[in-house]
Amino acid sequence: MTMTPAIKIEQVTKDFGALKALKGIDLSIEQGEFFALLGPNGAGKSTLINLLAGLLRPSSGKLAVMGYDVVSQYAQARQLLGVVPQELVFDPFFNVREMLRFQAGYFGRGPENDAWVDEVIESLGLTDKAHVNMRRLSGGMKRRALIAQALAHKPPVIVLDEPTAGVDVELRQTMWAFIQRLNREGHTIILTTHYLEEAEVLCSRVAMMKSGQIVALDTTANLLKQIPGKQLRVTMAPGSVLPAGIAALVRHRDGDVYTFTLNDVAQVADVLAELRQSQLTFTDMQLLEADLEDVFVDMVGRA
Amino acid sequence: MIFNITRKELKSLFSSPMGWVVLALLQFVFGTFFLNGIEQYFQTMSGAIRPEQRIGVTEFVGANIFGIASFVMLFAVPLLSMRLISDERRQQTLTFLFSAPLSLTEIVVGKFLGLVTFLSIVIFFLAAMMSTLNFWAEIDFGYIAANVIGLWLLVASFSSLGVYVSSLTQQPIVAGIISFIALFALLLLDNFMAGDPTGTMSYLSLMRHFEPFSRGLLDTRDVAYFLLFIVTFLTLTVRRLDADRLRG
Repeated sequence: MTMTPAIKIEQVTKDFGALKALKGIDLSIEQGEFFALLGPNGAGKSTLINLLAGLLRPSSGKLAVMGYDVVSQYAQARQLLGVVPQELVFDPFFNVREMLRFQAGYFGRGPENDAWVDEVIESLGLTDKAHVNMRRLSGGMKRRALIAQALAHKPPVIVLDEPTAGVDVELRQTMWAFIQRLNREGHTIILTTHYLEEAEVLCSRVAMMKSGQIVALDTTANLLKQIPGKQLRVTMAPGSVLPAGIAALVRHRDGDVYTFTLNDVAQVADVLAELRQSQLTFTDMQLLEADLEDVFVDMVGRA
Repeated sequence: MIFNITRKELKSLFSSPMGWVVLALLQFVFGTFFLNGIEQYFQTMSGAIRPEQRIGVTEFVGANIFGIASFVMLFAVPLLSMRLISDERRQQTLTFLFSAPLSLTEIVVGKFLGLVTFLSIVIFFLAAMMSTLNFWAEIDFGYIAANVIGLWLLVASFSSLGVYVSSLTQQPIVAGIISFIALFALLLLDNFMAGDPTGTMSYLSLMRHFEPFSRGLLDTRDVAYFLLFIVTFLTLTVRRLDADRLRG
């Protein structure tokens, strides 16, 4: 028996007047996946999330959360979805616990949900701040409270829209540990982020968007395979001029730091031999694997 | 879930100085007019010898206090209603409500009920104050009940218009000013249209429909008018928020 996808998006378009923000998106995310939605600013990621959350209505097409249509069966669909917004928005009149209890109340959860609210508060390191007014929290604490708010009704599908923007390292680690735990417990996680290393480490599958379209959709491992070979980063002595033989291999230059794209590890020896022949000296050298950022730059640049 | 929104609105009102200040000011104004009304009653009645000159204390004090209440609410309701939706829009917290499994009608009615419950507390204190006259006089509870119902319908109507105006803008102050001007115009429409008291515009005046209640008369046509007024503006608010979702 096939499992109902956590998210099913079919031929979704969204127009804002003349602007076509989404141009026929098709996407299916299975239950229990840790999925990344990547793309440059204006690619349509937030629009897609807003459509899922019911903040916008699609111009055409269908979106479903755990099999429930987000328009015609909005109550069931929203009951199963928790969204962490990109902006630091909060209600200034309440403390953290009150806010979480009200939020759970919107989803029909009463006092029986308090144990879960306490668990979320503790897991996100908010115990000391549970009775502090939202206005008095620091930016990082507000971000934690927002994540807690999206989890207050214990949704099986969680969407995190740029959750680590402007967040310190400690919070990132606490937050990802908690989100990974939720994923292990069966929650489906959908993440949009500009920190591609986070997506590479955490997500099993990635969709890359550009100008309202999905330009790449595959497992993280398969996407990484698309960039062939390795990269060699060499820090040259100041004023060095590369010989023509290896200049063609330079992918990127930042001052005296040159990054070469190699099809094969054996090419490392060729590069070093050329440098030695030209009597050029270098101060540092690193052999790098292609990362998601390279794939992203390649895919988004090509599309 | 609708009552969760109502509860949250009420808590917001009592969590901010605005709610307490408005509550205190209203009680101060009504208390002052109540005491003045009693003093004037004794002064007036001591000079009124003929039976047709004498009127009951309920009507004398009640006309005074419920009359001023309808006017004072004209200022108080926009102050309280202005932030209901506009402030949430400005602070982007409407997304929490919109992404919950709530219909727009539930959201709008929940917010409306929160405000009306707060104003009902004010009216309750007003009715309790009037009822204290019963300790030393035989008062007309029917007259008080008609006035209370009329005032409640009037402030509920004010609130529905306030909620609608609040849904039109991101600026609470703008919403407050527009609500006040609109309510002032609707309240006194029959004064502007004095030349044609039977005309449609004159019929739309809120004060014209409140006036029978203030005489102790409960007319279903006036009740229907207020209920229609409330439903109309709440529906317009739902439509306005729905348009946001469609247009993005």
